[in-house]
Amino acid sequence: MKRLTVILFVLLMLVIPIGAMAKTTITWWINPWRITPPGFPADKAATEEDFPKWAAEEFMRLNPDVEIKYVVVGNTEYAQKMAAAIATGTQPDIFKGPVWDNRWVGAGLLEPIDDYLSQEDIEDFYELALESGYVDGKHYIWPWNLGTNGMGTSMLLYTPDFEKAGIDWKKIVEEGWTMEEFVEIAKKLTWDSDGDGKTDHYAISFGAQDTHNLMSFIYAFGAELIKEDETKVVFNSQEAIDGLKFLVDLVEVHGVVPKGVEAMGVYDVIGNFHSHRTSIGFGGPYEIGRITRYVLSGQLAEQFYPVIAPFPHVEGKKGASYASASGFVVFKQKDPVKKEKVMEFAKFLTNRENTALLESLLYLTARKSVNAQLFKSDEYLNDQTQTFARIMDETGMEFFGSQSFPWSEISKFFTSAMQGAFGLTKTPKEALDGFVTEANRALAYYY
Amino acid sequence: MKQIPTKSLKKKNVLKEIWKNRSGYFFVLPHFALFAVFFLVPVGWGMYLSMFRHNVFSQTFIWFDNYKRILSDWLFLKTLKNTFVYTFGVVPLWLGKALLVTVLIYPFRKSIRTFFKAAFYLPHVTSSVIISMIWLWVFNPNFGLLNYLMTLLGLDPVIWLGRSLTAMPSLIIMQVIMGGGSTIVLLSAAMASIPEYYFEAATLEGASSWAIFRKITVPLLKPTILYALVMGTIANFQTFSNIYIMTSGGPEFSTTTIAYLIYETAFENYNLGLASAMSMVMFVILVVLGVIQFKWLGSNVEY
Repeated sequence: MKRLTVILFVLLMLVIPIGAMAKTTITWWINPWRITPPGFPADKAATEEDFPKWAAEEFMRLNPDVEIKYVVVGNTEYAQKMAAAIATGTQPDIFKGPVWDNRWVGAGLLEPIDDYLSQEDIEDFYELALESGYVDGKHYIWPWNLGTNGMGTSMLLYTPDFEKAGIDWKKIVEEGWTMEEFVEIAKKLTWDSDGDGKTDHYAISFGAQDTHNLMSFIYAFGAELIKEDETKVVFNSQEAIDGLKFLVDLVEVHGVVPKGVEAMGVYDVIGNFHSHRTSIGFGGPYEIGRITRYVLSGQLAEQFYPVIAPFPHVEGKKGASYASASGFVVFKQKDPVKKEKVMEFAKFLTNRENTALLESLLYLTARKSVNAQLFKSDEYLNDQTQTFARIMDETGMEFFGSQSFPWSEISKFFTSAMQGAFGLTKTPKEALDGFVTEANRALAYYY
Repeated sequence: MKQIPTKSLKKKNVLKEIWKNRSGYFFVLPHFALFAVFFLVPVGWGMYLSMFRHNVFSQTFIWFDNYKRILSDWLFLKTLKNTFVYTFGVVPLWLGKALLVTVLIYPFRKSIRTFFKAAFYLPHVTSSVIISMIWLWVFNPNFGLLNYLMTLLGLDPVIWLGRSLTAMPSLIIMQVIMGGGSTIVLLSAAMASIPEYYFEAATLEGASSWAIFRKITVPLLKPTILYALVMGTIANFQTFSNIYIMTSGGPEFSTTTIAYLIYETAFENYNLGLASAMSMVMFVILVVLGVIQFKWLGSNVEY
C-alpha cells in the first residue's frame, strides 16, 4: 500500500509540471494586411506576413502559456476555406476576413463579446463600428478599422489634371459638386493626349464588377436597395433607373468614361487611375496608401498625391458614400479557459496601441481616441483623413442592409444587370427590373 | 452424399482466388485506399448531400427537390448550355490543332520535332492563372494588345470579354491557342509507332498526302485520339480558373460554366446541397459523354 502511494505520488509529480507546461493554442486567420509592425525598416514595404507574425510573437511574449498559430488567408479564397472549415468543425478561434457572415451567428458559431467590452471600449468605438457586428441584441465583432477601403466611400482627384484643365479642385473638396457640375468638369478632363484625333485620356472609369462606386452614384439619386424591413429588393425605382441611366450616359453620351465598363473590374479602374489614364479614382485614405505601397514594391513607377473628395450629389439631395467597419470575430469555444485567452488576444489586437498600427496603411481605425492622434506629423495625410472623416460623417450609409441581409446571394444578379446596361443589351430599366426579379426570387428561396 | 451449396462454393473460390493473388492485391491496395478515400467517399457523400437543403450551418432532408430546382432554373440551364458550347468549341479545335501540328512536324528530324513539342507543351506546365492574367491584358478593351493590333489595321476596337457575343468565343480561342500541348506529345508518340512501310506503300501506290492522312494516319491514331477526346472533354467540361479570373462568369452569365456556378453556390452562398446536386448532374453528363465517345470511336487497331 505504502509502495503504491509512493508510485502514485511520483507519477503525480511528473504529470503536474507537464500539465502546467501545456500551452493553450489559438488559431488565428487573417486576410492580408500589409501593416508595418513596430521596429520594421522604414524603407521597406511590409508584407502580409509581417503584422500577424509580430502580433502573434508579441502576445506570446506577454502570455507564455499561449501559442498563437496564424494563417494569412487570401481575400478571394477565405470564403471557400471557411466553408470547408465550418463544415468539418475546424474553424479558427479568431478570424478577420474582408467580410464576415452574419449566418455564423444564427448557426451559433460565434461568441458574443458583450461581457468583455468595457464601458470605455463602448464609448471609444464608433457606433458604426460596433453596429457592424450587432445581431439580435448582441455584439460579435471586436471593431478594428473604419471602412476606408471601400471604393464607394469617396473619390480621389489627381490635382495636376484638374489644374491643367483649369478646374478649382479645392472647391470640390470643400463644397462638393452636383451631378451637372460633375459632367461639365468630366468633359474638361477628357482629352486626346497624343494628338491622333482619338480620346485617350478620360475623366473617370467604371467597372461593372466594381459594385460599390456604381452604388454610390445610384444611391445619390435617392435609390435604395431594399425595403426597410429587408424582405424585398426595390432597386428598380425611378430614382435607381435615373441613377443608372446617368452612369450609362457618362459613357455613351458624354464620352467621359472609357467604353468597356461591362468587362472591367476594380483593379482595371485602379490601374487606369494609377497610370493617369483617368483623373478621378475611387476610395479613401487606404487607396492613397496603395499608391505608396505599389511604388515601394515596384508596381508603380512614380509616387503621386491625390486628394479626397466626395461623390457628386443631385441638386437638393444628400450625396451617398458607402460606410462600413470591420474587426475580429471569435468562434465558439468549448474550453472556458481558452475562451478567456482568445478574448484576451482579441482585446490585445484591438487595443489602442495595436489599432493605431493601421496608420501605416492609412486606414482610419474604429477607435475615436486613436483617430484623434493619427497623421499629426503629416499635413497632407492629416488633411485627407479629415476630409474623409467629414464625408463619412455627412454622407456615410450602409448600402447592403443589416448584417442579416444576404447580399452575397444576389450580388451576381446586380453585376449581370450592370453588364447588361453598360453593354447596351438592356436599357437601365430592363436591367434593374431583371435584377429585382432575380434577387427577390433568390431571397424567397433563402428565407 | 451431402451437397455443397453453389453460392458458398463460389464464395470460397473467390476468396481462394484473392488469397492466391494476394501480392497483387497488396500492391493495388494503397492506390485503391487513396482512391476510395479521396474519390469514392466524396462522390458518395456528394450524392447524399444533394438530397439535403444543406448549408454549412444546417441541413434538411428534401429528397430530390434540389434536382427539381436546378433543372427548372434558367441560370443552371444557361450554364449547362455555356459549358457545352465551350467544351464542343474547344475540344474539336484543340484536337484538330494537335493533329495538324503532329502531322506537320512528323517529317522533320528528331531535334526539330522535340523543339516544337517542347514549345507547344510549355503552356501546359504554366499556371492557368498566369495564362489567364496575360490574356486578360491581351483582351483589355482600352489598352489591350489585340485592340491595338485592330486599330493598326484600321478596325474598331472590340470589347472582347464585355459582350455576350464575343466573350465565350474569346475564351475558346484562348484555350485553343494555349492548349493541346500534351495531346501533341501523345499523338507524336503514337504516330512514331505506326510502321513506316504503311506510308511508303501508300506513296508508291500514288496516294496523295490528304489520302494518306485520312486513310492511314487518322485511323491508326484513333485510340490516342479517343483518349485525347475523352480526357479533353472531361477537362474542358470542368473549366473554372480562366472563367473565374477573366470574366467571373459574365457578361450577363454568358460565360458562367457549371463548375463556376457550383463554386459560387457552394463557396459563396454556402449552399452545399444544391451545389452537390449540380455536381451530380455534371458527373452523369460526363459519364454519358464518355460512353458515347467510346461507342463512337472505340475500335481495336493493330499495326
